[in-house]
Amino acid sequence: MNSEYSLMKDSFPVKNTKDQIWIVPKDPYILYVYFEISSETHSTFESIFGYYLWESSHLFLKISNLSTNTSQYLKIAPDSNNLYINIDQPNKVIRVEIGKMISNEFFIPFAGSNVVSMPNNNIIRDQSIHFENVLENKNIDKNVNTDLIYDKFKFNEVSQYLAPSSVNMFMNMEKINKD
Amino acid sequence: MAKGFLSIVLHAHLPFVRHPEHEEYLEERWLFEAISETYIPLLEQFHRLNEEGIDFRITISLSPPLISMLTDTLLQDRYISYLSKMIDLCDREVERTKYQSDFNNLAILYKNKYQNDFNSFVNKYEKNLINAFSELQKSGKVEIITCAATHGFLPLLNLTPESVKAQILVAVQTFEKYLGCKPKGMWLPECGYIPEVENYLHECGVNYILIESHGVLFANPRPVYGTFAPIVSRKGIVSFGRDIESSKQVWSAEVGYPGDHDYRDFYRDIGHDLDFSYINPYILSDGKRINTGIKYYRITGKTQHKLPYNPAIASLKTEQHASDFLSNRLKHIDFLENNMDKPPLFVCPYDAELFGHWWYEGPEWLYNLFKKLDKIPDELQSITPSEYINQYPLIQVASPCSSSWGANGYNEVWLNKSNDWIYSHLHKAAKEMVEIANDNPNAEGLLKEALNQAARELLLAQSSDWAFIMKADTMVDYAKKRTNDHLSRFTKIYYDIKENNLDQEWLKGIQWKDNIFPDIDYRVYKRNP
Repeated sequence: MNSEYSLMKDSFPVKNTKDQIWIVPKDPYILYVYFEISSETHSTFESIFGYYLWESSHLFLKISNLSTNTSQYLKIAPDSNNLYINIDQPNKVIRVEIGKMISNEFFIPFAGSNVVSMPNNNIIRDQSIHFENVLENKNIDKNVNTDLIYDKFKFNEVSQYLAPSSVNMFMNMEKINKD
Repeated sequence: MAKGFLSIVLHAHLPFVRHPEHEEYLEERWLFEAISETYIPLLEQFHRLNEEGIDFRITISLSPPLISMLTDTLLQDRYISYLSKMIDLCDREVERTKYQSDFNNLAILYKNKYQNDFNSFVNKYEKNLINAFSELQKSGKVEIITCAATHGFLPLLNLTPESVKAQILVAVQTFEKYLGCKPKGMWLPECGYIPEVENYLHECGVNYILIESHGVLFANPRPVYGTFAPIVSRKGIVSFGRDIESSKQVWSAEVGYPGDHDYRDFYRDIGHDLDFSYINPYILSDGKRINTGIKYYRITGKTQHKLPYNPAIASLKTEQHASDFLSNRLKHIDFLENNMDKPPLFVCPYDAELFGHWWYEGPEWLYNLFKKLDKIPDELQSITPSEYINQYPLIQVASPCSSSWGANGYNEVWLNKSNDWIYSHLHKAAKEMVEIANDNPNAEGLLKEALNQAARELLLAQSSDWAFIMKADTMVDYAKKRTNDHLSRFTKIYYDIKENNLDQEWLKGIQWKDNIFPDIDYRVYKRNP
């Protein structure tokens, strides 16, 4: 084992023996998906449905919006193992399954992903305002005009002055403030 | 009572770049440059404020990798060697520039600076800057907080919740070991927030976090005071959002202070400007030119024809810019006081390394800011987040929005085509770490050492810096190598444990190389109930 791992400079073993699919949000609209279909699943599928159906059917993702109880299917390339998908639904709870679509009608799932919440990207119009005294752990109702600050400052977009990382400054890569 | 409050928060962090296997390593210079250009200058300015009796408050996040490196004897000794070499270079520069008065004055200034660094580091701070920060914390004017163990970007590690737990718990343990108390607050790496982090923050007794502006502004329900007051979640964690306007004044490429034409130019460095034969002993041994830290020009403007740097003029500018910064906050207060029923708070988080390393005059700007602030206590006062919570404990309940301070505000800097390949490996290793931690709940001896080292390797692989460097497309090979090295080492340990075939000699070598968190307990990865 020793020599094998010490020689690995650019890659390391990651092959799994079971089907898996994982999802993480990239931003409020885009989800990163990576997956793997095991050779065992491939052979089991072929033994049940036959070689021809494996070859002629396509891999699909079933993207379920658990907040709205809706879902959609997305055809994926047979040789891919990761992709970015446009969800277009910020602030929603999403789960994805991977499987084969048979005759454009039947979806046979191989694996289901974790569940994620897509980030929110806007002001939430919920007006239920509560305060807490954090030192005494007490909830307190207080009347505050919720529009005051927001209307004056038009807080409705992500700040344009996002900071670079400190490590950036040591690599001299990005001119932060200089021409 | 003040009409408003200002909370300056500096985040000091560098990835763990200790390479005992080589006599010289480029990335270790990041630490040495940061010590000389940022950490010592900041400490000196804070001591200066103390000596002048100026009341000030500042919050500093010291990341666990930085604490580990600043307390490491090998790196402390290598920093002293670095200083000796810099002093030698300055001696030669004083001689070389003796007929060019503008440059000669600067060469003398640099020589004095590095000699002063040497004296301060060796004699005043006894080589341990963490003790120096700890002493300042005791004065009550500086609040030290922590960050995640290896600066892992938590929103992308949460596929294995134990990874997030370990990043937070190991950070808090490291803080307690070196600072002697629990941290009140945590700077989430890259301000990367997801609600799940709160489970572990609460468990560790961390009361507050710093997050990006829209993390607060897009919270649920919407915060009535915007970013001008913190919010508290149902779990009891208080979130402070970054003030947009004050960030712009420092970070903005168009109007930010560090771009002023009279400030020192970061890019013109004698490491690149001088004859190769002359500068060769002070650059990398393979002949690769690097920044030495000796820079003679001011920014001047959008021109290649740079004028000599004039420290006296730059110093005056720091005063002007400190006044300008305060005047803008006061104008802001004038507007806000009619719209708020308590004094507004401006939270200003910055990377510490901006001050001094990038913006050479930044530490002096901070000194002037606090000095001027001290004269207007009825208008605006500096405050730490924990002091603010104590003074204004009535806080709106709201759940922050998942967010970060990276480009476009979410995860894309650390998750894109240049670096997404790392996540399947990181997630797999995290699951395997949880597996071996659960399989061996009471390990002893060599097995325990192997499990602890596996935890170190996983944590080191998770540093957000590697993904960031890959995205930035410079020094990518180093970031890939670090990711591969740590994951390969982790994988070998995992299989050695599974096959009951531990390699003691090899393990010893890895422990010597990756010696971060000597007291780590692998059981931090035990599966969540």
